[in-house]
Parts: sequence; structure tokens; C-alpha cells
Amino acid sequence: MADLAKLLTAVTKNATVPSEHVDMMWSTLVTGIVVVFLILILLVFILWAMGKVLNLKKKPKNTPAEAAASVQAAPMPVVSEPEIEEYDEDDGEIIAVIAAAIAAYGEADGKQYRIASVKRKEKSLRSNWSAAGINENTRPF
Amino acid sequence: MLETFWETIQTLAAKSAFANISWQQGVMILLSFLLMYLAIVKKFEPLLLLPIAFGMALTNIPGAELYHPEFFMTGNIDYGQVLHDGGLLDILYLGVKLQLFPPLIFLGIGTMTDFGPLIANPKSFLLGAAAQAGIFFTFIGACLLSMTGITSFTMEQAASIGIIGGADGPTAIFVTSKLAPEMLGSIAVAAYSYMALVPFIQRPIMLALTTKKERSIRMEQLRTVSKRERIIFPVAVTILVSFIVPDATALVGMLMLGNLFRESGVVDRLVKTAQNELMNIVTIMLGVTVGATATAANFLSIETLAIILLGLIAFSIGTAAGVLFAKLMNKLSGGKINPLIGSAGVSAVPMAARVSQKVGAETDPSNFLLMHAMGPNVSGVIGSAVAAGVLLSIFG
Repeated sequence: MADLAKLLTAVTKNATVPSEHVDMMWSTLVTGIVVVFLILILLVFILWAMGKVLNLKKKPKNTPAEAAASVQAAPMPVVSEPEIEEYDEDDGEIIAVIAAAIAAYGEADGKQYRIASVKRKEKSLRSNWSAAGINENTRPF
Repeated sequence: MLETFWETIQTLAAKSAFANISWQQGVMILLSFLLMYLAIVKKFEPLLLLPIAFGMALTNIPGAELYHPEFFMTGNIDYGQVLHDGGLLDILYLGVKLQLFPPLIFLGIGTMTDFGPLIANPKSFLLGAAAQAGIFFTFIGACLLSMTGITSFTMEQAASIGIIGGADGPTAIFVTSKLAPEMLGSIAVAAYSYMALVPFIQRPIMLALTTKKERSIRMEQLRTVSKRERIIFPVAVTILVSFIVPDATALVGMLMLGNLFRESGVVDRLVKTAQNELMNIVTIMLGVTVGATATAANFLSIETLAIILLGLIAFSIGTAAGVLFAKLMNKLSGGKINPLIGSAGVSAVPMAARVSQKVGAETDPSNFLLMHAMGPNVSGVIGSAVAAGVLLSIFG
């Protein structure tokens, strides 16, 4: 590797790129990409192994006494998220509110809409509190 | 008495910059005004572009003798001459020439970087590696331009142009100051300008290479990273990278030292100094001296135009390679990776990660990619330092 580097240096130092050095040019491309990938792949494995080893070590240490201590050390109040009740599709009150909102929207728009069906949107992966928190924190971005 | 007064006035007039300025120097000073405008009004990387622009203005004032490029052109610098006959910027430039400033900047960056997202998702490293393709393909492009006779870049110069694709200013300066110091001004201006333009360059490429369905992929929440992992990480990276590519040690070592300061939690005073006072002082000296290398003779050439064009190509290829590799990882993982985070692999911390977040939010406002994009983003810093080490080991 060092010899190759010396040879490359000797050939290229202070000279514009003549066409006979095309091979060397491509070899720099391949060497560069391979070495960068090689090192970063090694780092992937090291980090993966580190995560496994440290997490394995961590688990047996979690004795009941420690667990009790950690519970005592962090007496965070548990805030229960407001539960949103499931409504049936034929729930009159909700349908009326949605229809009124659409009618108001249509009035401003100058159009009339017919409601074919009302379905509950798929529940978000995150809780509403979590989504609001992330939204607040990433607003500057 | 009146005669002496008149002679003095005549001497002053003859020595003044107005009498000695060439049109090229005039153009450079006007160009520096444009860069100052971009830094102040448009907020283009102002922390570095502003001192660079001012250094550019200072170095092109005839008679000021603040910077002498001829002192640094030969392989063996006469340091005695620099200290004895050099101007202010000559002496400050020694920090660039001796490669002190970029590693010190990396020390500060290390204290400010959270590698947690990368440790939580090590596969992000691959995206940081893929985005470095821009460096090597642009190197090829610069070589091919020389072969066709359009430009006359040496291989060292081509390598320095390629490193713009790393989207990392200190790395670009580190490599160029060693391989092609005569191009330092042009390459630094191109690198920092493009880093400021990352949102405009990356967005259309990201949109062109991804489908709406891919852009709306939600990624799994990252696991919590323990303090022990955070402390071991900088030590492990330094040892591994430095053992394989010793030329990258200065950059990677200082980056990781800064990060170890941060994560150890026992040297708060050093962390504060490295990320504030030290970094600010070095940034001022680095910016002004890099700007000073942009003399009219060095800057006003067809090569500079080629550098600006190739720099843009380098950024674009890096972005495209990152996105395409992320698409591949998405396929292999069964649709768990949003390809938009791939573009963040080009470094430009944290701008490139913000772009991933923004473009993702355009498709689905409740999709938060920022933390996922920070992994490839910081791995891009390590990747570009490794790429710099590879280029230095070949051409240095």
C-alpha cells in the first residue's frame, strides 16, 4: 500500500494529467471508495458489537434492588393521555359536527359537498403529546 | 515648505493603492464585496464567508503587503523570511500552512456534535460513506477536464477540487493547503458557498430520485444510547481510523477528542473553551487567511470557473449517491429506511439533516426525520475525513 502510494506520488507530482495515467486515476477512485466503505463498515460492526455487549452486561445488573432504587430515584408523575373514545360511524352528534364544518367550508368556497362516508383516520404511531413535543422542538428547522 | 508638502503629497499619491491598482485587483475587491453581501444579507455561512471575503479584500490592496504568496510557493518555506519580512496575514497563514487551524476547528466541532443517533443506528455509517462518492467522481471529472485540455489541473489539484464534495470546509482547507495551496482561496470560497446553498442544491435531486411513497416512510424511533457507549465511541473511532489511514489522524483525532471532552462530562471548562473562545479565534484567523490566498493572480482564471462548476457537480453526485444508497438500504430492509436521510451523508452539519427533515415534512408534516438524518450527517464528517486521509496518503 505504501509502495503504491509512493509510486503514485512519484508519477503525479507537479504534472498535469496525461492520458497514460488514466489507470492510476481510476485506481484512486476505486481505492478511495473501497477504503472509505471498508472503514465505515468496520465501524458499523464495532458499534453494533459494542451495543450488544454493553446492553447484555446491563441487563443482568438490573437486580430487583436496583430496579426498586431507580423507581425511587425517579418519582415522575404518570400523566395519562386523554383517551379518545371510539365512535361508531353512525354517531349522530359527531356526524352533525363534521357535516356543519364541511358546510361552512363549502359556503366560503361557494360549493356544495355531499358526505359519502365518515371514517376515523388511522391512529398516529406517536401519542398526541409526543407529536406535539417533537413539533415544538423541530419548529426552528 | 510648500514644496516639501507638495512632494510628500506626490509621494503619498504615487504609493497609494489608487495609483497602483490593476483591474484584476479591482475585480477581486468587487468580488469580495459581493461575498460580504452574501454573508451579511443572505446569511451564506457568515461565520466563515465574512472573514474570507474581508481577507480577500485586504490581500488585493496594492502596497498593503499583508500577504506574499511567493513565500509559500516553494516546497521548503523559509520561516525566518516569513517572520521577518511577512505581513500580518503571512504570519497568520502559517496556521493554515502548518495545518493547525482545521484540526482545531474539528476539536470545536467534536464538542458540539452528538453522535448518539449514529451510535443508535450504526447502519447510518454506510450513508456517510456512499455520499463521499462525490469526492472521488469529481476527482475523475477534474482529471478528465485536464486531459481534454480545457484546464491544466495536476492530480493534486484534482484531488483538492474533489474534496469540495465532502461538504466540509475544514477538511477541504486541510487537504488543499497541503496538495494545492495556490487554489486554497477558490476552493474555500466554492466549498463554503455551496455549503450555504445545500438546501437549493439538494432538494431537487432528492425529489427527482424518490417517490412520494418513499418520502413518506416513517422510521422506527431510535434506541437510547448509554453514556458508556458515548464515551467508548470516540476512542474506538480514533484508534480504528488512525490505524488504517494515519493521514486522517489529525482531523479524526481532534474531532473525537472534542467529542470525548463532551461525553466524559468531567471537563466542562475545556468543552466551553473548545466550542466558544478557541473555535471563534481559530475561525477568524482561518477565514481571513484563506481569503488572503485569493489573490487576483490565483483567483481570476478559467480554473476558478472550473472549480466552481466541479464543486457543484461534487455536491450533486454526493447527494445523489447518498439518496440512491438509502433507496437500496430501504429495499433490503423491507421499507424501513426513508431515502431522504441519504442526502445528509454529505456532512454540511446540520444543514443537510435539516434539508432531509424539511423535504420529508413537505410530504408528511407529521414525519420527523431530523434525528434519523443526523446519523448519516455526522458519519459524513468522519467519512470525509477518511476520504481526505486517503487522498493525502496517495498524493501528499
